[in-house]
Amino acid sequence: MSDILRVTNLRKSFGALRVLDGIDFSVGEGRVLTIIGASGCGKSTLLRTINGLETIDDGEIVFDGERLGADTDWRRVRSHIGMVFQSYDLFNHLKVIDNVTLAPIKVQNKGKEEAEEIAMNLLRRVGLEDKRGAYPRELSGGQKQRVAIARALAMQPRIMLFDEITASLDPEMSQEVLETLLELAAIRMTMIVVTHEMGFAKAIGDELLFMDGGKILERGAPRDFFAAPQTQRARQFLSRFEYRI
Amino acid sequence: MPFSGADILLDSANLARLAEGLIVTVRVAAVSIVFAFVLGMLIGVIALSRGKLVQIPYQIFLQSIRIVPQLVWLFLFFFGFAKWLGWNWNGETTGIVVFSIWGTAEMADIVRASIGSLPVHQTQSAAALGLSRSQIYLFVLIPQAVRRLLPVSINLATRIIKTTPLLVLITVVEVLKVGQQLIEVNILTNSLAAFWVYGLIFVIYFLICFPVALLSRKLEARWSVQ
Repeated sequence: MSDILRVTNLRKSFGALRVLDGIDFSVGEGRVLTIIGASGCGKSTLLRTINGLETIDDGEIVFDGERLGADTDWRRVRSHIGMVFQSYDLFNHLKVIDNVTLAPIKVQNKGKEEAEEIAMNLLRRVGLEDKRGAYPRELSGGQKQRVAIARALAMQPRIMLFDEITASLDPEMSQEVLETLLELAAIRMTMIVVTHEMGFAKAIGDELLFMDGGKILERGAPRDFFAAPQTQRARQFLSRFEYRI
Repeated sequence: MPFSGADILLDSANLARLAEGLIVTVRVAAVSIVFAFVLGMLIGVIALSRGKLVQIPYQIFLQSIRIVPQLVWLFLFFFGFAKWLGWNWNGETTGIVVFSIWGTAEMADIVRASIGSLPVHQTQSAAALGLSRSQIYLFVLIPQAVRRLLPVSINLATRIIKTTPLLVLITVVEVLKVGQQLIEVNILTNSLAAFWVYGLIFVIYFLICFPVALLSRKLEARWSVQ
């Protein structure tokens, strides 16, 4: 199995604050990597360095055999990397269908008809084909996130990055979004999922990273990690979730 | 006689002169508004850059235009520049230049503020989809900002229209000046001339500004449905 993404010794600071402190990992084709950790541990920044929304200070990111850096054509690379954010970030002036077709038409120069056909297939997959003519403000939070997922998928990316996409949703809406992700995993979409949903992290990933203070403290099969965390920090982190429940 | 003096408005020669003045008013306002909106859009987008090379000249431009009254700018361009630089522009050209610069500064700040107030995630998620910088502005940011800046920019347009009478002071014979002339000529024979002429000019300004306001309300209503 070939690696789509390989990250080596990645470092990044904001001023004096070291956010990423020597990160190494790789993601194989069709695999799902989940990343968990307390707020501020660097997991969101890590995702954002992969598609160039943040620059890196040191280390190497190799995507699909290409080393990414300052002279990368980020437009081309980003069109192969789908990303969904925590906040609902649909384009509010566009209908659902136009949100999904905008990038395929403008970036990939697809015809309107072809783009709409792809979009309708994706909206069907996320269960929102009847919302094609709706504006974002007419949708619930969970529906918006599912449209955002369809919008990213419309570019037919090689890998999808999810940045705490259920963090501002209530449990019921989280559920419908997470089910969409499980379906994507089932069709072997390569994904990196940053999440605060521990039950979900246990269920979806092939591999799990536990991050703290800009470092990866633990890695392995999700089941093993949750059954027997190796570090004190991880036990502490997980116990907080049990306390909350 | 309750309508005594109203015949001043029925004289076709008088009405023709008022119409000529009106054309000057509308011409100056319309050309200035077009320049202001187009240049203001451009400068407003540029002003979103936080670099000092952009911010320092932009702030000097914006603040100097705002601090100095329009009348002073008109005098400066009309009398000052004629004397210092030998620019002998006529009053109407001076008016168009000054109102265009003023409108551009105000419009640029409106555009900068309304694009700047859009959530940063709009830009980021568009960038993450592979859209270029200009595509992000063209298809994502500006269409959303236009909906926000519409009421304020319509307000700016009516402010420009309402400021045109200042041009009287730099020799432009626009609608208000024509009105004054008509009153002066007729005042000995018609004691109510001022009432009727200014009354008509009041109605004329209303008729110019009201449709603009109406248009803005209509567009706002249409976009708020979306």
